[in-house]
Amino acid sequence: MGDGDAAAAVERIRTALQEFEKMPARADSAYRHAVGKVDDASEILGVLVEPLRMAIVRVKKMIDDTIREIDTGLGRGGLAAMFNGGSLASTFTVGDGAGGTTGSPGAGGFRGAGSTSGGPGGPDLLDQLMDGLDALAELKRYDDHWLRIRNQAATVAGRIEPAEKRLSRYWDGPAAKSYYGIVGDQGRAARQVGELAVKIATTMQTMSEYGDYFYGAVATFIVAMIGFLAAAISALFGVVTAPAAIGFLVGALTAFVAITQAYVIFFDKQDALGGVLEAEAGNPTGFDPGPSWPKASNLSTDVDPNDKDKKADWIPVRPTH
Amino acid sequence: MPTDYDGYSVESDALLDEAKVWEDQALAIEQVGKYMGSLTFTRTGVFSHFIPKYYTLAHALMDRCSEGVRYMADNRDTLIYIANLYERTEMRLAQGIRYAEERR
Repeated sequence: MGDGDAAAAVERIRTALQEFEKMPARADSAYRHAVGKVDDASEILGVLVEPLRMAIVRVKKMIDDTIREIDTGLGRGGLAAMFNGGSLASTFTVGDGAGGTTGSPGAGGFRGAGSTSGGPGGPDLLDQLMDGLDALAELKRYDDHWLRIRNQAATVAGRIEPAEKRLSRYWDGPAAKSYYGIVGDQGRAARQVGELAVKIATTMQTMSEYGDYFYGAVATFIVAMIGFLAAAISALFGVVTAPAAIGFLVGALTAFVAITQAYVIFFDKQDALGGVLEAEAGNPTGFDPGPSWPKASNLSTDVDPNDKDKKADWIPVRPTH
Repeated sequence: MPTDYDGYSVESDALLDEAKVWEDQALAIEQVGKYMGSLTFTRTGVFSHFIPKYYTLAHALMDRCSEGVRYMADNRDTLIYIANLYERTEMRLAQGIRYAEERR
């Protein structure tokens, strides 16, 4: 390795370390953000972040050792020093979940994945991710179904609304007019079902887009970690150089930051989009003229022109007598 | 079915046709509610914060559809009742007129 290569490698390593040093704080911040909202989701985040963080710590230690060996092998006696090893040691401390050099989150910074789910990176996390893929597929499928529901509800409205057109040739009077008003309410209710179905459909579309984004970040991270591990192992056997492995580490660390950010965004969107649907469900004026489906109340049944009041509320247009 | 007796079945038929519209659309909105009920998630996974809220609105809409079925059926029944009442009333009035003419 020439001096120029070594200097470039050192620069990349330092950049990687700077990024890495930010990560516990970022992850803790993401976790606290989630904790502030919903325990379940924050638990997922904790389960997600902690094993990844620990994996990175272990892998970083491995490459640190590897570089030391390479350094020793090169006889330069200088690469390890260029790593600013003291900072590394504190940054990558594993055990209590505290953020190494960032320190402040303390033992509770990450909810102990081991204590809540039977082991870091255990089946709970994988189950959540795998189940989420099923849910994502259903989200993508169901938005079309809700649009079909909109069409069906609009068809119902379209069929009941022209009552006046159907009946006015035969019936007149206050009851008939009152009836046309009732029909209008019923039609609006059917259309409102359709409008809310559209809201569900579009919300599902948006949610599935954020799901894609989140799973994209997961996939990127997994690929980056695999690349880094492969490079790190290869570096042990001298197939690739340590700086090359560090390049993969940078990729893995970047992906880790991305997945943390993606989860925060994903969680926020679940909160926001779900909140929109929940608000519609609880909105007493949202189902105009609601809150319930309008009841056809007080519709007169007076058809007798010779009763006590000497007039009928339903009056035939074509007099029969 | 109403007869063409004295010609007033046209009006009662119009009401019965209107009642049929309500019956058909009550069935349609019942199907809409059932359709909504079929759109459930097999699993929740990482969408555990969104899906329960989806269910909240979906269930509210299913409730609205159930109410719609009930009230549409009420409309149907009311119109059938009015049609029958109208026929009976007209028949009674017609008979009264005939009876009065016979007595003259």
